[in-house]
Amino acid sequence: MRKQWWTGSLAVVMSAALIAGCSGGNGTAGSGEDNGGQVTLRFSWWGGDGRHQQTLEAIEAYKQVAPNVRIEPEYQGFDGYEQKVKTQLASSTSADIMQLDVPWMEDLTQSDFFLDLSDQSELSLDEFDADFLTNFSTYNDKLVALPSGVNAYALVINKTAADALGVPTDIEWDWETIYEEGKKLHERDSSKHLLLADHGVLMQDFNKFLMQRTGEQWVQEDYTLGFTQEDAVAALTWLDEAMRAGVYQPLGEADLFYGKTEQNPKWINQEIAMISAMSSTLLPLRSVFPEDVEVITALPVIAKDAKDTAVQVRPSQLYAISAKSQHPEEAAAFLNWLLHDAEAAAILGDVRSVPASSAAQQAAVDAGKIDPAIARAVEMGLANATGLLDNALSTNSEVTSILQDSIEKVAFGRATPEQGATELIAALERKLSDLQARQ
Amino acid sequence: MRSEPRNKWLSYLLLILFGLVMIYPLIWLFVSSFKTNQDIFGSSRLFADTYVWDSYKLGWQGTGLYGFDTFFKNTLILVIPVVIFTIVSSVIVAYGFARFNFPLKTLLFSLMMATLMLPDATILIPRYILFNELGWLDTYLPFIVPAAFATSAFFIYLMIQFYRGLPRDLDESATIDGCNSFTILTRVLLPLCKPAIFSVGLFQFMWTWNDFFNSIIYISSVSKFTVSLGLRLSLDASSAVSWNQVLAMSVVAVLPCILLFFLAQKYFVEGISTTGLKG
Repeated sequence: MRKQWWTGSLAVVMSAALIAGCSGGNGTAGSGEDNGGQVTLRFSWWGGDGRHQQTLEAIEAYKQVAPNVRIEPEYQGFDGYEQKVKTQLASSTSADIMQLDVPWMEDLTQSDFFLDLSDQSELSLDEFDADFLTNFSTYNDKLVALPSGVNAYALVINKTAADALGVPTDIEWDWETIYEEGKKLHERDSSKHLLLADHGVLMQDFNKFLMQRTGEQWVQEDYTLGFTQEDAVAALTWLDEAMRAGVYQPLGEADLFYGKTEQNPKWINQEIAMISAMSSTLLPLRSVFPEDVEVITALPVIAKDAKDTAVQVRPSQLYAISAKSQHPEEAAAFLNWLLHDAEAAAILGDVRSVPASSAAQQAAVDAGKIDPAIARAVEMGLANATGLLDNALSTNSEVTSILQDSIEKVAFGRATPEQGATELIAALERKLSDLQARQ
Repeated sequence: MRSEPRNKWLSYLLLILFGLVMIYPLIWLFVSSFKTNQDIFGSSRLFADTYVWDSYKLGWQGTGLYGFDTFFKNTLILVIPVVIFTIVSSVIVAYGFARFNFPLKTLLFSLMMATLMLPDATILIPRYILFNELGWLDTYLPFIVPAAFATSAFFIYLMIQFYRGLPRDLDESATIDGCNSFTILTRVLLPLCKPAIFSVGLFQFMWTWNDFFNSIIYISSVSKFTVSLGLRLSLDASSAVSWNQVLAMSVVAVLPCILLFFLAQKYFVEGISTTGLKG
């Protein structure tokens, strides 16, 4: 009797819980339910306020273009987006159209998650730069994603501060001039620095220095090094001298703001004139200044006798269509409109950097929706970019962490450039033969 | 004796100073919600030269189609059932483990404890696939239903430990007075468990309220976003972020947790569980 009571009440409580729970929410994220020719497409992206608003506005405008298609927006910040998309792809619940980031593609294209876009009749590809598509959109001979915009590596310069500090802004920077100007500036006022760089940027600068000197990728696809001991010593010596002369803000201070450079107090208080960064970070970098501060862009530092400019351009983001989409034609048509249409381009402007499609770019420029500083960075980047791209090995995290180690040792003055170079080469050769053996 | 007042002043002074240090991040959060980006990151001073007053209004409106009124409503719809079900289910399951002997009890208990050691990340994908098969994605069911089945081993364990501290003599005297095993729980043990129940409720409330990762994985529609998702809605490395609005909404988001904590505080101290034996 006692036992019955207990189990009985437990069952009642639990079933009550279940019923109440089930009625808590209804409807699932069904993609593409047809009711009366009505098609629903899910579109997911990450971004900030501006991108959300403009994209929602574009979706609203698309209702006029294709009244039978309803676009369901799924937008969020960058945090957690990658994990979410990967989970969704793994379980076939992804949105029909997704915004993706270039570094994820190597992983994601191991499986057939995405529609091959080269044979979609609704989708026009002629407005894109052919090299750009080959380099960033094609994986395993399939065109799986299209660039939403173009980002270029550039010097972001606080012109107002540079003028006040007596730093020229109308010259093309090479490694000597930037060292000289930086040294002069720091000698005049020891609280000021010419450049702001966390360890990520220092590694970039090191790579570019090497690439310009050798004309090769620093780590080659055949698991050998693209530079000699001498090259590494030269690059690290430059870095060591620049650090000592105060060209850069000391790494210990700058690295506190790794990944959130715009929060660095020295940048905000206009005590640093330049940052080498992707053009996409210009908006947050500028957002911390009062209205009257002018921010411009310039070509990144290029050696006078460079064998390769080492200027990089990359898609700001990519769009892909899920291979599981119920309505691939409608999705392709929407994507085509979003990428190329003049009306869409005028609404979206530069929320995903300068549009990659030439038609959209023209329309956005005509509408006055492209920030001139960003447009200039991209224009210069495209004009000077060379064919040399990062290969998978040179961005491998095990390889780059070795570089980070050596760079930090030299930047903090814990190793001489010679020691740093020797250590770097020895560690890299060990790691590369390791990686090759794993293949 | 004479030096006592001065000692008192000294200790109060120290306590106030220490308290200020502890509460400074919250004060900074509040004041910074009225500052510009430049003042928030550009100086370490608490107060700024210029203030903006519309950060709460603009932040509350949110981005795009939905504002924080939607996010708060969603969060309550999610959190309240989760907390209630967690309390009910944990109390009952823990009662079973603490007071009854049944076949395979040790094995089941070890299994339950083993789930406590399991990292969240390892069960994320299987759980996601399960909820997907059930058609529960983009609803709050992946949070509410598990709560109804006592899936938080931590809370069960917490309740079991508390039950173990209650003398079995209470159960026996209740049986003599005519209680069955369930009324022992409801009439005798539960009133004594109040502090533990409030701890379970408070913890679960705060964890669910602040949970970001599970929510972002299971919820896709912005119309169903919770507050913790709404706060990060506009954070992106390549966009200009109005930090004062983000901070303003953070202030609003921590208010319920703080209020609830102070309201429930007295129950933590109340109820010394063995007093029932006196007399």
